[in-house]
Amino acid sequence: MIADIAGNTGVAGAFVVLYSTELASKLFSDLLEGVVRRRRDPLIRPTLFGLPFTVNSMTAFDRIVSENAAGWGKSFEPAPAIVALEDMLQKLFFDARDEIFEDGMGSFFSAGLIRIVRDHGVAAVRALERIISAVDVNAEVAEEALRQMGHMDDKRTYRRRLFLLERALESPNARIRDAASIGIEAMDDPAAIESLQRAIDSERHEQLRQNFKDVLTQLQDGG
Amino acid sequence: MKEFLRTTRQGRWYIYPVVDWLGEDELQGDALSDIVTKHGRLSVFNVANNADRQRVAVALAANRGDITTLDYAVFDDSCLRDLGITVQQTRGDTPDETVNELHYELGNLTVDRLALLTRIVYAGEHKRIHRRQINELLSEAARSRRLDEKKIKHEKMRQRLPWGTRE
Repeated sequence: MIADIAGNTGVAGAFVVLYSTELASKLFSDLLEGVVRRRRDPLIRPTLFGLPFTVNSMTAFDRIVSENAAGWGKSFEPAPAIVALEDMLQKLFFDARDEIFEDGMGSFFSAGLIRIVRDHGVAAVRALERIISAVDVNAEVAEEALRQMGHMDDKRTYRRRLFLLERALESPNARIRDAASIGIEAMDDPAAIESLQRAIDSERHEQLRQNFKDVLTQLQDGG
Repeated sequence: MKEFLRTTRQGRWYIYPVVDWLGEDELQGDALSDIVTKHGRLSVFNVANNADRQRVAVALAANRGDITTLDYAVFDDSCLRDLGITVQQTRGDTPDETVNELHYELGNLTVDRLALLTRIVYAGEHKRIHRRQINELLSEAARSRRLDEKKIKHEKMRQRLPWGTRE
């Protein structure tokens, strides 16, 4: 049976061994449930966060991790959870590659992203940082993600989201830097003044530098 | 000569060397996301001055779900007819009746003409109105009832705005 599970879920078996007996027990029961569901109907298309995911990409392992990652983040080093969240976010980014985003309007991508960050907190923002900092990230989708991180209302992840946006000001990708400044503008937090000043000093693109300056002026004027 | 306004996302219009994978004089394909046609037609607004630009921008911002930064491009119509692109005035669909009168549709947009139009839009003036200013302008437009509350499409936006009393 363990071989069956491993066969269906990749590294899940090894993953579970790392954690407590009680948690492992819950994981295995969830894992089995997922496998059984999958066996019963191989064409099942579970819906997560209101978005369709195919079984191929949303394995039982993904589901278990998505349900438990926030709790793990409190008790353990977050690395495995972040890896799993990163996979989930990568899938979200991949699915969003054909979406056309419009300022001030929701999208399937933004709804899914906000839901993941709300459910998994700081760990999800950390996973998002890794995706956005990759050299081959889809700039259109990353831009939307950063805008959403600035507009999102979630106290638990506030500091990490601001950190993410400040880091993104240093991205080699101009579109990502621009979106980071829009996100910072939406958060309207003077704590980002120093990062913005650094970004202005190093920005070579005139239009972008002006955009940064406008945001800086806003932050210096106070909220 | 008329000038037309179309909302954009500035980042889609960045060129080389800001976007290093582009060749010189090339535009990102993503720019096409800002000029998506329906039945070969593209919605634009005629703007004669800065006041028009601001009023159109506010009306378009009022059509959104959230208050956020608004980017736009303004380009002129001098080449459009020569390219076979038609220009027709039609009613707009914003909560500002005055702005609706400024609405036009560019038509007969084939793939080739759309590619040329992209160049025209690129050569225009690209501007940004920041979120705080959009917020102030929207609030003012709601208070003065320049915006028709009943025509606000998103309930969240309607609730956020400080509507003045009806006369």
